[in-house]
Amino acid sequence: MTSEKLKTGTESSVERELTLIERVARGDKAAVPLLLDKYGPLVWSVARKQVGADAAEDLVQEVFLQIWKGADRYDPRRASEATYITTIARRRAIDFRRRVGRRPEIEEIPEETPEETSALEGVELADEARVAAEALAELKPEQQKVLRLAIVEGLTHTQIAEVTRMPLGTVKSHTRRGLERVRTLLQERRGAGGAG
Amino acid sequence: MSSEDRNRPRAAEPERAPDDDEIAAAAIYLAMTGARDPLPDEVRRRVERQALDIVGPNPK
Repeated sequence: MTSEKLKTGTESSVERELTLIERVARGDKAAVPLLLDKYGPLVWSVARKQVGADAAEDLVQEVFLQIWKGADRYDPRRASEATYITTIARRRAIDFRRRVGRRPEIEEIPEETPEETSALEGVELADEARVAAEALAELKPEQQKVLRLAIVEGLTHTQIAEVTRMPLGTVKSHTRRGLERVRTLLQERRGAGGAG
Repeated sequence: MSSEDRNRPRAAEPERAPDDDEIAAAAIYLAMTGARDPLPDEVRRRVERQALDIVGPNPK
């Protein structure tokens, strides 16, 4: 972490370390390899999952291009770097799939999805992801499954209804309520102390 | 935006900051996915070269 710090506030002059994205925004080239070390695997994993290995390389370059060019718009009070970068990667993946006319394949979905909780073990989570994990733990397994299919697998509501044999309205309400629960918790935590 | 797409990121709009739904969806994504595969060396080299053309010593 750099010794460069940012003064926040007007009278208290509270100082905090600059994030890597903020350093990039200030033209600090030394932050580039550090950011790639820390978030390259995340972006690569999102890309491979969302568009497949053959197109992942192009998508990774698009994602990082947006990070470099838009670094000055990053607001650490709204989201951690990991969450911010994930939003960019997901946006770009959706855009990429629209451009090439590719939709996620509907595959056989296992009835149980134990990886949803086991995935949390041993993984360094962004603050928001910890909050999301708390919210997800409150949901029923079928609600977790719908969220996974929508958010991780990138399926549409119609596709989810097809593979799960749930009514479309149920799929929509599971998705909406799950997102609302996480959003509300995030807003509460942000109000209580910031994004981290 | 239709309800169909409420849970999904919108098309790329570089100028727009992520909204609360996108942040919530990203948080769920991070919470639900585990292992991260290393960025292949060749991809990393390309991304780094690209960055060094864009990120400059222009402190604000």
